[in-house]
Amino acid sequence: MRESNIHIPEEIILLILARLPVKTLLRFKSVCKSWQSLISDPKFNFQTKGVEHTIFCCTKGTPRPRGHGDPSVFEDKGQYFYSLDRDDHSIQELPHPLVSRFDSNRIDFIVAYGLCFDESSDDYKAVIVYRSSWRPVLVASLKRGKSWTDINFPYYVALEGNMSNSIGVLANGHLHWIGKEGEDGVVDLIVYFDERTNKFNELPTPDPILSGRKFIYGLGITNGSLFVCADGKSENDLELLIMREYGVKESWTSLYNISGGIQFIIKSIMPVFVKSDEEFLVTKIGSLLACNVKNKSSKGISLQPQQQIRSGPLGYVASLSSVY
Amino acid sequence: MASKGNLTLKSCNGKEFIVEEKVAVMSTTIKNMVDVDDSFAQGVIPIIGVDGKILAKLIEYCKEHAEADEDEEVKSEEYLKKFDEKFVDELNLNDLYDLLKASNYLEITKLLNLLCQKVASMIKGKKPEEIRRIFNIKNDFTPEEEEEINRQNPWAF
Repeated sequence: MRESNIHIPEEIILLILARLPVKTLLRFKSVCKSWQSLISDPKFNFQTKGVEHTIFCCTKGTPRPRGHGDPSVFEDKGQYFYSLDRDDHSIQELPHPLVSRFDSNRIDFIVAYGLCFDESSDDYKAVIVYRSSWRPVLVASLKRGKSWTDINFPYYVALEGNMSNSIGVLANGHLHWIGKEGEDGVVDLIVYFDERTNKFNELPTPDPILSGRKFIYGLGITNGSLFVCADGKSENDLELLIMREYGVKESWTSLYNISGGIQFIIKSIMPVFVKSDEEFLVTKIGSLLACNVKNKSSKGISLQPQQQIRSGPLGYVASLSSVY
Repeated sequence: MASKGNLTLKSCNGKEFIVEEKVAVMSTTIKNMVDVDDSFAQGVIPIIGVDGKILAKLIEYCKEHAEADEDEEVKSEEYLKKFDEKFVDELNLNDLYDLLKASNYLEITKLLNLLCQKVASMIKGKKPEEIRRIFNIKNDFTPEEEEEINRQNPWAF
């Protein structure tokens, strides 16, 4: 591309910038001062229709055996966030501004957490569910207060696969986890945190097909719809079901019925997202797998050495907005 | 003088184009002129700051789209999409900038959107220094300031 001597008016520059993804906009802040102020202006509403990406949380560092009174499992206690490109499966590290707000010595006691936005109070809320029965759930508003509040949580969070904690799946504004009623119960609930009322509720689940028994193995979200991996029609089958309309029990639709082959993998996994009619992504024992239903194969997505997925993944769309 | 239903557009370098009114009013600016003052519809409409080459390009675009709006069967959505793609692909950088400014001034929204999308996809993967060269922008940051901005958004690079 050759050099030009033409000056483009600012109003046209804005129209062009509005069509760029967030990542490009952040990079273009360093073009010049006027571009920086255009991109940073909160009044300017960038119509960024970003592609949904998948985010997950990983550890770096060497695993260390857990001892009494030693909450740290890893040499390096930091948790790192990564973004997965859904098309070419490439992985990129993200900054993690919120992690510093947690007490890192207690991070291993966290079984579930998540971040949601409460429209009624125009505020972000962070939710943490602790392993112990003492102060099981805390909620903090990020804009005001910034202190943690205790909330009643009448369920048990189920940990998927080999996860040490579970990041809430955001759908319809609420945070969702799979759970059970008693400590030794069957995982057959989808519980959600209602950000407006600060209360936990249950979402209707697909009907049990086997007599009274339906085990949910994982919860994910794809294109705004929740989906689960659950026991299928016969003893050894598994089913991937999607909730087409949020909160409507009848809208649960079977996407795949998985029998034999890759099914042994599925039992210890959580679904990440449905990519096409045939392919979906899952995590299993700290790693990522792309499963193909048709030819019953699965392919690993390589992480860096010593990386283990600790929680997530979930879908996100990048934005220029700040939570503070 | 143009016959009834036609308008005469005159470029800044004196070239005249006789176009059908439905083609010319794809430009909101021209439409407003004609609606407000009848004499424009009779005489010559000067298009300030747009030369004959660019005006011919604008008319070519508006003609295809005005005809498609009138009869969807003759010019399908698919046909228009292909036309748009070819139209922007054949432009050199200077023509692209001139057309951007002209379609903004004449308020030809469809074309303006098309051209902005073209520029956006052209610059999407580029580095800040390449952007400065393409848009003829002077870097007014000190090296320290630039480093600070890049440090704030490490994942964008």
